[in-house]
Amino acid sequence: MKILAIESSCDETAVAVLEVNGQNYKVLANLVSSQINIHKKYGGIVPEVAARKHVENIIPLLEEAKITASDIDIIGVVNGPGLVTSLIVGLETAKTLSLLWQKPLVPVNHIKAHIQANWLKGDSGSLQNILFPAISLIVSGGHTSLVSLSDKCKFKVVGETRDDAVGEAFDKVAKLLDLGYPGGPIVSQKAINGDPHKYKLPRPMIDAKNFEFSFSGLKTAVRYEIDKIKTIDDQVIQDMSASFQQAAIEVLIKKTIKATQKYKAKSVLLGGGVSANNELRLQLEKAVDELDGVKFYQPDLELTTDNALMVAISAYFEYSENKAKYVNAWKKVKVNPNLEI
Amino acid sequence: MKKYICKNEKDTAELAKILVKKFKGGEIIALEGDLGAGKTTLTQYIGKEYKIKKITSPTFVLMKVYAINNAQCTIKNIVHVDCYRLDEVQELFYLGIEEYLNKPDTIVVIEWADKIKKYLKNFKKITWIKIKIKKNYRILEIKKT
Repeated sequence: MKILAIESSCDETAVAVLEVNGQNYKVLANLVSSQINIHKKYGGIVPEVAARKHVENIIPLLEEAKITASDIDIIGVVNGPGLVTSLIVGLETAKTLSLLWQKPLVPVNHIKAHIQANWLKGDSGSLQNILFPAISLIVSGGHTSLVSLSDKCKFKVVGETRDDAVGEAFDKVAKLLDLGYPGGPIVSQKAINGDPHKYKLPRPMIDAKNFEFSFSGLKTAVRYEIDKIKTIDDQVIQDMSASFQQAAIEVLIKKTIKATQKYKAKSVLLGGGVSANNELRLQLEKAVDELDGVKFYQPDLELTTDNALMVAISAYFEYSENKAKYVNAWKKVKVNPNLEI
Repeated sequence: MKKYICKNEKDTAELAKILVKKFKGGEIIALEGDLGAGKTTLTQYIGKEYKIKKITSPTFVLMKVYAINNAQCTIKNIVHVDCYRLDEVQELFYLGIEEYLNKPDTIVVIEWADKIKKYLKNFKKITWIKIKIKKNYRILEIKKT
């Protein structure tokens, strides 16, 4: 089966084509538009508004994927959560193709897709054999959640952030340190040579008896520390970045491990934009390895940020569960910016 | 102009209560204050007054709409807007903010509202709240337009 997938929930426009036969898969196309490519293609400045960017990107991307109606079997598209104006571009495009080509349309939850990206490893091969129950930690600029899975498509949120997402906290700390926006990756970069124990920062809710997170106060604590320091030189920036990153990671890991034990999970899956953070990957993997009989999965680096390949595999799983549901679905699928898992 | 001092979250909760009592619908709460000032916290307490339990940061999606499930209450929605990562006011326009500003059954709370000060001049019933960060407390300056 060949799946065409479209993702446009935030700033990236992405198109992918994935072929799945039984347990084997092959990536036929995986395109993400960055502004740079679009500038090259059009030789001009693209307007700031994300939705307009999507409108301009989507057709060239589909052309570049070189697909025709006879090449594909189903169409998958993200219908939430995300920015409503951005989501609409991807969904309306997918609906049009679905009607025109008479192919089933499968709406995909962006967060579930981040989790399901873990079934892919490399450009071709067999789907990962992930054992259930599984616990997934989803970390991004807009989300911080712990999700339990009893099967590929059976999800339950067990904990979420009460205020800021962890990726957002990274961005805001970058801003406090004057590192620019979006600063998450810069903070991680600065943290490499910093001392993670230099500044005493709180580990919000680390001992709370639930799986909820809070990162707003951690950001404020960083602010207080910065206010105490007279000169913010590179050493301070490195140490503060490292101390903040360590505080955030420790909470994420401790809660993930606790959830893994409580739900007797056999697999731990990482996902979302912040899962590109090397320190989080290393420390979580180490913590999971210490548990008996639990396997750790993390997505390929290029699948940590928003992409359409994860949407393709998600659409494939959902479609396989209930094929009839998606015939003529183009008539009723709507965007939902606050779509829950 | 009124000035309040909030030493802890309890004070913030108290202030939210005072604000909410005066709401009749259509109000806009425009929040100013640096990172860590407590803008989202104040919004969460305003939400709590309407029994909205889970208000999370709208920074990423710019705008979140929460429905108030209370038949007796004439206010039906709380809209939480964040201009922190806004490049131009048009983005809010595309997200449909004008459907909510000054709408009689809606309260709109805007973080980093100073970024869209000029645009907000087109609307009425605005309460500007400027939060200043002090070492162990916050000063909130409240001004109505």
